[in-house]
Amino acid sequence: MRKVRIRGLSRKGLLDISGKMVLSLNGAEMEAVKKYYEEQSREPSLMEMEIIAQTWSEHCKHKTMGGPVEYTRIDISGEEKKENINSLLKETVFRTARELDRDYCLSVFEDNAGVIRFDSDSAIAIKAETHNHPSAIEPYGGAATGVGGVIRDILGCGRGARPFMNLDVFCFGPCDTPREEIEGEVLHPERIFKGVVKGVRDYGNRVGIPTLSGAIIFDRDYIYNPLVYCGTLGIMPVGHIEKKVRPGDVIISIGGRTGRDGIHGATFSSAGLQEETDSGCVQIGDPVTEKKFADAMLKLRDMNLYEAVTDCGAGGFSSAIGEMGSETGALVRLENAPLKYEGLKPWEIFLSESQERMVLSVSPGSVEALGKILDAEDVEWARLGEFTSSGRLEVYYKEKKHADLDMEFLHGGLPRIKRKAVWREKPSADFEAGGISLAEAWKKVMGDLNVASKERVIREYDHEVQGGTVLKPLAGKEQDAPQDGCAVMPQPGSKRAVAVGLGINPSYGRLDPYKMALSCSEEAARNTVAAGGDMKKAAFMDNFCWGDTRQEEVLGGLVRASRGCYRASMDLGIPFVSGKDSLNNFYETVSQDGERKKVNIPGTLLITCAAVSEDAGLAVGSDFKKPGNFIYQVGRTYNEMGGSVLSRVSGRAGGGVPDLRPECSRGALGLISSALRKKTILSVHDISEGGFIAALSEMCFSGVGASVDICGIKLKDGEFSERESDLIKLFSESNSRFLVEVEPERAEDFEKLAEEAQIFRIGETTFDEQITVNSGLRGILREDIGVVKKIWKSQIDE
Amino acid sequence: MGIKEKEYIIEVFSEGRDPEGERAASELSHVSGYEAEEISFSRIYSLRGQLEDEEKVLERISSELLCDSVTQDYSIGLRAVDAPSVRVYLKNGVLDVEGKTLMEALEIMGIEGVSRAAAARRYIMKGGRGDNLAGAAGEFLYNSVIEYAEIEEG
Repeated sequence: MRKVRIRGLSRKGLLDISGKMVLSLNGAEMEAVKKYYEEQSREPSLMEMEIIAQTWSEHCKHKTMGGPVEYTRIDISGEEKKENINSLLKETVFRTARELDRDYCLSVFEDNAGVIRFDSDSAIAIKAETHNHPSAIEPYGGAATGVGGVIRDILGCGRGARPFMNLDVFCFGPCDTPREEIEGEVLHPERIFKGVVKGVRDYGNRVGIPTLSGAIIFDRDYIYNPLVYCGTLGIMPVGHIEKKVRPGDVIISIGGRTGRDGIHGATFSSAGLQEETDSGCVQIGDPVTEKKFADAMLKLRDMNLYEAVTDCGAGGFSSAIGEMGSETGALVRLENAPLKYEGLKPWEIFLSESQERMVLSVSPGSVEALGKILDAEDVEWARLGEFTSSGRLEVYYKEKKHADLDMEFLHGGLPRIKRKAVWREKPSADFEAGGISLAEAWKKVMGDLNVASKERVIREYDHEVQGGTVLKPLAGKEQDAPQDGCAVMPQPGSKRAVAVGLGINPSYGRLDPYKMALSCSEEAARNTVAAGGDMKKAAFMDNFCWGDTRQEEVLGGLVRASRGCYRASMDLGIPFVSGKDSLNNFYETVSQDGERKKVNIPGTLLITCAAVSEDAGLAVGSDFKKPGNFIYQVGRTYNEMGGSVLSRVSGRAGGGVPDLRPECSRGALGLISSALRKKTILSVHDISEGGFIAALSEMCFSGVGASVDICGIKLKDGEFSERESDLIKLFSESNSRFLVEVEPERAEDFEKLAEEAQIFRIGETTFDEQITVNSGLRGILREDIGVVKKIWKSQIDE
Repeated sequence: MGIKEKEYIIEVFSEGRDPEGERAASELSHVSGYEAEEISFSRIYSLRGQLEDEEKVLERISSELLCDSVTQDYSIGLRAVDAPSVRVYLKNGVLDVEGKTLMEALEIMGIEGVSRAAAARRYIMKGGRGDNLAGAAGEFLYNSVIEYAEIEEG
């Protein structure tokens, strides 16, 4: 058995070993490992080093967000204010559920997914993951296995939840980037885009789960390191939320066979991408196998034939068995693991990240019955050992012991390393749009890749499978008008639904990560409430993707964003129940003369909001329904052009990022929620990217025209020229705003509901298929819906 | 002494519209170094083993399992073509989902004697011209991280 000599080595020697073995452990961590083995008076085995590296990886332990940070904030005058943060996660997102203390939150940041109550008997599990580095080098397989992995998170939540919808969000470089402008041996963004979409489509569709929600962001800073977020929601009986591994339980693996694929996935995702990145880290998915064991597993769950379950994700058996047995102990016999082919070394079997595998903890008396059902369902299974009370992880291969690790050291021995973070406040400048005309700005905004129609991608996905979808991604006469969020009925026979909304905007983050978090959280909440979700039964999920957090200013942005999440959660009264961070999203090239160049992604935060809706019929959609109805703007507009689509398409900087004003926000969300429940509105669309005019245009894409007068919309804070006022009203991206369609006979009822929210009646839906915007007597914009729609639809095509 | 295994090849291709070929041609138009008037796409299935009554069994596998008789046709053995072509295979150790499913299907059909099945793709470059087919293929037909290609100059 191969040993790794580390005792007596200098820090440099230790770091050499970490680098050569792709362990991704730093000097202090290697020193801690050395100390442990010096106390044991032996050298670690190869398998033990691999187990420690996987367990201590950033991917599995979240060392940066869970560890201490020395945070320095430097204001515009240069004055420094220092703070010590003990744990960024505990002091921000983790704290929200404790402080808000909502009784519908049933499992928060404990399990593979967060869990909220659906009804008296059932609960909803929500989780989103990222699969960025695998998707960068093999887009199809990387994205497909991202989908497969997050589905298994839901299957491995509690004693198993049944997945009922997927969501997928991507950040790519622009597809029209000339190849010669891209350095290094990376795939072209167009190829990544096409491969990722195919991977998500093939896995999601074949495994029989509808893909209902998503977003795509294009930005040059994602050329080298694209982002692929995959999320899944599942439903489970509340009685299956708790799971417990007991000493004496048998360790059973089910599903796919183990091969050499995906070795070093956990440590790979914890390092940046480099030109020479190892191709062995990429995995391929097999949705049919996943579907087979998922169905069989849920049958076993309902028969109470296992005590606990978890998925084999990053780190494979090592991670799954190591975590399940962390409070007991485990004895593993690897020779029993079914292999794809011969020749795997024992450590490779234990660390392999072959897909479609789960680990169950089964009472010895249930093994026979469980085996019979798995055999009948054509699911391969194996007995890998048992959980013990030894407090040790012991791994054997053919009677030879390859690992014997103290669980306490493995899970608690990771040294806490204090990292430094700096945030420099930037002076703000006013936004100046230059000479662009309003009509030109409108068309450029609608043609912006981040606003433009994603129909070409959406159509690849199955939205209907399982038969519960209520609010689909596209609607209107030609089935191509976008929707805010989605709504799905997960429980056959019940009219209750789950509404889901998303918020993501890296352009805000470049200027102010704190306000990005506020805005993304509110946008996710707006979309959810517009899809019928009840804000009193809502939960947030965070997914941070950040650059190289060893750089102080990059980590400073992460501190700001995390604090923004906390503030938004408390202001909106929506707790975070689940989340995941993916750090080290950067790409490093080395030129021929040895110069290293690093490209960080912009700090990117995806906020997902999920809320229960007592009636699926509340989801009215974002598309105008018929001519002759009143159009209202809910919420006030502020001069907030920073990071806006208009600033991007006009190439102008300046302006503030949209803020969150708690009272306005609660007022607007409350109004929409009440109005949907009183059936006073026929359609509702939140105002976000692209501002008022983008929202109005998208509502008209249903085929119904609109004529509005923006003169009556009162702007807050400041004196503006006529042109400035028009620009702000049309293109500012202030939060807490919606456009709604109300039948004239329901207008009085709607206005009565609006006591705590500012509303402006701005016009009517029309028979002519035109979008008309006036300001008093001034005609500002007028265009055929078809012309605007063509611009909006022709940006992303085959 | 064991019986020597044989490799049987089945090629399945479109009759009429060929969406995969059209997609590949559209992507080729963005790549420099090679041009083709039309790309024809087919799937290749390789079966290793020892089949009894092999002609009849291969016909059955092709017609009942691999080929949709409305839109596709097949050939036992690789078709001879007078144009350059690219065959794309998965590298060793990469899970071949189609091959795995094929093995399961053969078992269900009661066909014995196949020890290994694998799937590959073939792109026939009709009217192909240019001196860098290998380079162009790497740009749009396969990913060298998990696949490799065999180029036939035709």
